Amino acid sequence: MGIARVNARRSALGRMGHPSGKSRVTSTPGPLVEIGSLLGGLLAWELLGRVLGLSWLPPFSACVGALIDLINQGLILAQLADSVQALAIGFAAALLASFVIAFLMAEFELVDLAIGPYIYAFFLLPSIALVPVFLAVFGIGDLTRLAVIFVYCFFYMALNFHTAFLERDSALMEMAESFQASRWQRTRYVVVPMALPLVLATIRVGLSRAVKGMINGEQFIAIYGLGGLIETFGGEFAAVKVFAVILVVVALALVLDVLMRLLDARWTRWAAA
Amino acid sequence: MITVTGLNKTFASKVGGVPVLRDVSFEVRDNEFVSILGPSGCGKTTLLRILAGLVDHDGGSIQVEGKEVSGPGPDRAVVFQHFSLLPWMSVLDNIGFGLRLRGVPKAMWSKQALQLAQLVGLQGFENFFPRQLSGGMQQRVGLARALAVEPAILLMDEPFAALDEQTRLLMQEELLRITQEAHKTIVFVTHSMEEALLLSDRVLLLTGHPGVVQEYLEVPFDRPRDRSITTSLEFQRLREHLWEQLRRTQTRDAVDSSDVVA
Repeated sequence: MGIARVNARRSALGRMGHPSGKSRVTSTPGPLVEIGSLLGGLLAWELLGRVLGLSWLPPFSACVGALIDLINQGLILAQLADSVQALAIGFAAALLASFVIAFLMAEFELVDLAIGPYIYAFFLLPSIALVPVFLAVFGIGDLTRLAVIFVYCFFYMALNFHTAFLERDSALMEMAESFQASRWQRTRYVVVPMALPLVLATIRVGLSRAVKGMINGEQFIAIYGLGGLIETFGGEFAAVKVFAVILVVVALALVLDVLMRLLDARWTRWAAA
Repeated sequence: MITVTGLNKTFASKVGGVPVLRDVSFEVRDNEFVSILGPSGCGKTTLLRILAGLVDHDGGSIQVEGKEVSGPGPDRAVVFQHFSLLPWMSVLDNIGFGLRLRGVPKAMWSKQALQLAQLVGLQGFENFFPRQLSGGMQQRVGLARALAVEPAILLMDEPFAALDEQTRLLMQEELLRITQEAHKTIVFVTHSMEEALLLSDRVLLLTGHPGVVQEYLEVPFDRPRDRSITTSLEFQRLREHLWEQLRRTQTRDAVDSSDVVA
């Protein structure tokens, strides 16, 4: 249950919008250290890039310059929109499916016994191993990309949601029963709220896995989206452009992560220490 | 009116059945305050949970207003030892929980919850989360939540046992005050002789393993009561009497179990 909050407290980004943000935690030099470390890393990248002059390590400033050029040429934003759209569809489908399946597994032991092993087996399997299968089934197209995004996050989320829904406080369930709560009401008012912190933490990690799936899938197909761009520029040995696209991917993942943390802080206010 | 006749309860376990209650019979009159008093392990909480319909019984009968108890019902509400508040709900939402489950519209249940918050002394804390409250305040919420569904019978399972001494004394006085205003039939489980005598009209003394009814004692103090009765000679005499009963059975149990060991 505490996973989300432990992680949230660990970094300055996580503290944004978190109720404990006003506590003494913020008065420690934590955020300064993090920002300082980040700037130091970029500076080191810049210097190494300039001094070493390696073709695979262009300086940071060159990458930013290339990114601006690519944006001006209209290459980035269109592909970013394309990627985000696929991410939204693939992730939404995985979220819905994993939520429903995990819920059924937690409610009905038969469902758990019947499909639990499959979920677990596919969770253990590196998702990328499935990409050739999808290529064979769906061909080089959007469905393959969506399928890759789906498997990258679906099994992980289904397993975690299942754990979350099994976390039943027997005292609270009994209390609800004493007020004649129906099975549905016990689920609605006790099981789901109880599961919420772990559900949100899972969605956050699931989303980052979906981003990985999106890029990996696009690299395989090599036509679409940001992953397609990385693959294209990689083929041209244009390291500076590859890094430029990677900057966009990192920014996308960070924005999604911060949004999820804000949501988490808002919805699990009751549990904040 | 609650009528319990020849109640038996045995818990299943790997080494066979563990008898918890044997041939328990008593009745509780309308608007009466009855304490079930006994040492740990005498089955008093199990008895309360059976009354609440949360646990089945094996033999005998329990009737509330002439109807056999077969599960939780709207005529009974429970106040739990460890409060059992929903941590993600505000004080107001917790108080209104039972009403909400019954499909009462929000405007109505929140109005009732506000009034009850006032009754139990929680005004100003309606929007707090349970973790922001002290134990005593959390149990006030638990009490208000039970009162909100307007049950004829209030079942209280050692409601003040998890509180510190001062808070417990205060809550006892609060309960005396509140029950004065809201006429309820109350069954109150406790292991404290003082608490039982201070609050109750009758004390059901439960002893032994399995628990049997040792005595059903009348407490002859007039209402409204306050703590001053505890210093009276009559109170001391009743307390002494209860202690004699408890000591006798406790000692007998201790001898029994040492026999088993030997």
